[in-house]
Amino acid sequence: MGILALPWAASSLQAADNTTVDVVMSIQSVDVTLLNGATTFTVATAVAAKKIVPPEPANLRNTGNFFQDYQVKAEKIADTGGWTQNNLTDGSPVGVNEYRLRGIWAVFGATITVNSFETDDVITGTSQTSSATRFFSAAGTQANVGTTAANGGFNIPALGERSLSLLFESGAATTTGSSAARITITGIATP
Amino acid sequence: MSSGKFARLLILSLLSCLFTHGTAKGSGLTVTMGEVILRNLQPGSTYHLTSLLNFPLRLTYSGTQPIALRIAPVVPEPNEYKEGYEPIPDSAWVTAEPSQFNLEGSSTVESNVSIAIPDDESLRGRKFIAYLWSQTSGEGKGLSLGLGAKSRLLLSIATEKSTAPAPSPSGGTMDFELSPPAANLQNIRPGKKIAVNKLLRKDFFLVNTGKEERKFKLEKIPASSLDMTPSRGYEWGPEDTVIEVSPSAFSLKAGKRKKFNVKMRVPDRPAHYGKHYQYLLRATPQGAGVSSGILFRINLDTRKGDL
Repeated sequence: MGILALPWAASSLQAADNTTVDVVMSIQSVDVTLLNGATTFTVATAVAAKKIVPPEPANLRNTGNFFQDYQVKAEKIADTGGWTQNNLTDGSPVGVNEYRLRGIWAVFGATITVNSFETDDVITGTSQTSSATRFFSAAGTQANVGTTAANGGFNIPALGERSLSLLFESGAATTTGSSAARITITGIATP
Repeated sequence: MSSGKFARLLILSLLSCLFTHGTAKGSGLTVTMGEVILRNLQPGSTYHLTSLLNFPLRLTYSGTQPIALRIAPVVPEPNEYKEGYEPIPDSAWVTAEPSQFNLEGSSTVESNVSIAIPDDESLRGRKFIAYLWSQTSGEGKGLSLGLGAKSRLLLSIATEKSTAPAPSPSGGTMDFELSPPAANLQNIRPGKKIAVNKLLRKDFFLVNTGKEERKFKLEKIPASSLDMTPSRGYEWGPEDTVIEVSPSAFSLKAGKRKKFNVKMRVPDRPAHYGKHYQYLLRATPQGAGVSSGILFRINLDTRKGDL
C-alpha cells in the first residue's frame, strides 16, 4: 500500500470527479465542557436496596461549533470491588452486590425524585445517544423537568447548556462491599 | 447490639462515600474532525492525513486534574449510522497514533490518523462510516465522571481506478479554519436580499493557520456535490437561492485572516415560507496533493407564510 496524492484540482467542483481524492471537514470540532458549579455527586450514606438521587447534577455546555448530541454510558472500573453493574432495562430489581445507574437531562434547577426516572433512562455499558425518550423523564412535567427540545440531551446548539441528574440504585439486601464506576458523557455531532 | 443491627451498620459503612468526582469542575474536552468526508478513496491505498494534509486529530483538554486520554476507532452503533453509509466492516481500517496520552493539566495534543482501505475491488462505489472515540480514562474512586468526543469519518470508495501519477504528500492543505463555522438565521422573508454578516452583527473569517502563503476559494456548493444529507431538522435550500460570497478568491499570508461577507436571497415562492433550510459554502485551498476543504453552513429559517 502506498500514500496516494493527486495534483490539486483547479476547482473544488472538479474535485467531485470519480478519482480525485477529496477530504472535506464538514464539522470542525466536537466538545464536552463541564461547567463550573454544581457538578459533584455526593451521597452522605448509601444503604442496600435503596434509590438515591445525588443532590447536584452534572452541568455541561456545548462549546463546539455545531449541533451535537450527548451519549452516556457507565462502566465499572476494573479491580474496584466485587459489585456488578446491572444494565437491565426491564424494571427488574437490582440484585445482591449489584448497582444500577440512571440519568435524565432536565432543566436547570429541576425537581428530580426517584420517580422521575424510567427504564429507558438506565445507563448501560454501551454508549447510548440521548433522545426525546432516552435519558429524559416522561413522568416529569414541563414545569419540573423542562422540555425535550430545550433541555434534552440531543440536538444541542452551540453554547447550549444541559443538566444531567443521576439515580443510583444500590444492591439488594445483604449487599456488602463497594465498587467504583465511571459515567462517560460523549459529545457527537448531530447527524 | 443485635446481630441484625450490626449487619446494617456494616453495610452502611461499606457503601458510604460512593459518589466522588473524577473530572474537575470547569474541565472540558474538544476534538477536531467533528465530521470529515473522504471521497474517492482507492482500494489498496493508505491515507495518512497528517502527511497528506497536515491534518492531525487535535485534542484539547482543559482542566487542572491529571487525566489519561485515549483514542480508539470504533464501528458505529446502529443509533450512530448515517443514511447512505454502511458501518465500517473492521475498525482496523482506521488508526490513530499515538492513541494514549497522560496529561497533567490543560494541554493540546495531536494524533496522526491513517485510513487503510483493503485491496478489495468489491468495495468500489461503497460508502462507510466510522468513528474515532476520544475519551478520558484512568483510575477512579467511587463514581467518577469521564468526558468523551466522537469524530465521524465518512469514507467513499472510488468507483474507478485512479490513473494519477505517483503520489507525493503535499502538506499544509488543511491548515486553515473558518470562524465561525456556521451562521444561523431566523425569520427570513423569502424574496428579500439579506447581508448575513450585518444581520448577525458578526464578522466571518478564513484564518490561514499554516506556515506559508496560500490561495483560497470560497464558493457555494450544490447540496448534492458531497453526497451529504442535511442536518437533522433541516432540508437543503432551493438551488436557485442567490448566494454571493465576497471575496470569493484571495491569497492569504501565513498566520493571517481574511474577512468575508455573505449576501443571499431565498426565492419568493409560497413553498419557501416556514422552512428550515441549510446551505453549504466551501473553502478550498490551492496546493499540490489531494483536494481539501472546510464547509461553512448556513442554517436559515424562513418566515411563516401567514405573516
